[in-house]
Amino acid sequence: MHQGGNERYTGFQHLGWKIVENQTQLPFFTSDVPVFIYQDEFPEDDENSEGFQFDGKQIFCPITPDKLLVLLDPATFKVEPQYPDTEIDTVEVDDRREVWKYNLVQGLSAFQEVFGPVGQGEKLQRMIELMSRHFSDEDYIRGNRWSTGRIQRAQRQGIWESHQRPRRDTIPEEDKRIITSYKKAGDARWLYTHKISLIDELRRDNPISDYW
Amino acid sequence: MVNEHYVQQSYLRLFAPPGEGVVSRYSLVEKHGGGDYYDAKERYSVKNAASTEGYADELLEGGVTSKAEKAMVNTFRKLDDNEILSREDIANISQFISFQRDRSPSAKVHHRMLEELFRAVGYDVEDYWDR
Repeated sequence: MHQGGNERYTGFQHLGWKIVENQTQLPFFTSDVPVFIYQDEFPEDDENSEGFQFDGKQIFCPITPDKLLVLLDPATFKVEPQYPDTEIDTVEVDDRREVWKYNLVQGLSAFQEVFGPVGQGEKLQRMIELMSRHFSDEDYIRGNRWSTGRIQRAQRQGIWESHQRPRRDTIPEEDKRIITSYKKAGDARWLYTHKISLIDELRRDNPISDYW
Repeated sequence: MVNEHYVQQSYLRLFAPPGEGVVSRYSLVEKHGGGDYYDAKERYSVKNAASTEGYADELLEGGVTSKAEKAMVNTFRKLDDNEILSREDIANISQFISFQRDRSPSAKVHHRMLEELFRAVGYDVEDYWDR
């Protein structure tokens, strides 16, 4: 069913939106997964839940080298829902260290690639090399070495094996490596604290427990 | 097979010089014969970025998808130019967030029962809290 205006995709509009305006010479970077969804705690895999859970969410999306969109859960952060307003709050960032923090988030978010404006390749590379060393195993950053098709095949095969023959040693070694490596790349975000000042400043002392 | 972009080219062009479809790019995973990772590329065509052949049965390169994506990126350009946004623009941004979440490689791979799978390969999802 077609819906007009901002009746479409209202879900994310119930979060508080902020445009971060970059006043530094260091551009915002992006990646092959530009929309990074984060929360402070490891998410429960709730089999009964349906749809997107907004509770505690922080969403980061670079728009251009100079602007980045942040969406925050009003229950956890001192923000007003975007809906139904069309004007988005803007905050400026003039500290390169803060811009680096936003860029590091893209390094965590990336599946296989990070991007920046022309001439920023060396910084992209240095960022990923530093992040890889931050973790005990580089798979946490570089773990998605296979195509999505190959990862899916390994997962399907692994699930089948674990059901049919519930012993660890029946899953092929390469599939085990793929499954574990993919998992580490996904888990990196839960092992990392971004320390972005804007987010820390907006955090409520007492989250609203029955907001959603 | 068609090379399908899981991040739309028009979005990545927002990071490119005007009129050029190139960005800098670093691959987290590609290694050359010697075993080291390739250095970053300072100029990399967005045509080859964030894409793979046969990713979504050509759904991502279709006319309807392209039209929606064009509207989303036009809104980003308005935002970058500090223009006043309409309700439609806000919906476009929201749609972009939603689209990217749903078409990311992780969304494609992720499915139920993964926790059970990770335990089966000996990777306990709570492992790292105990280290």
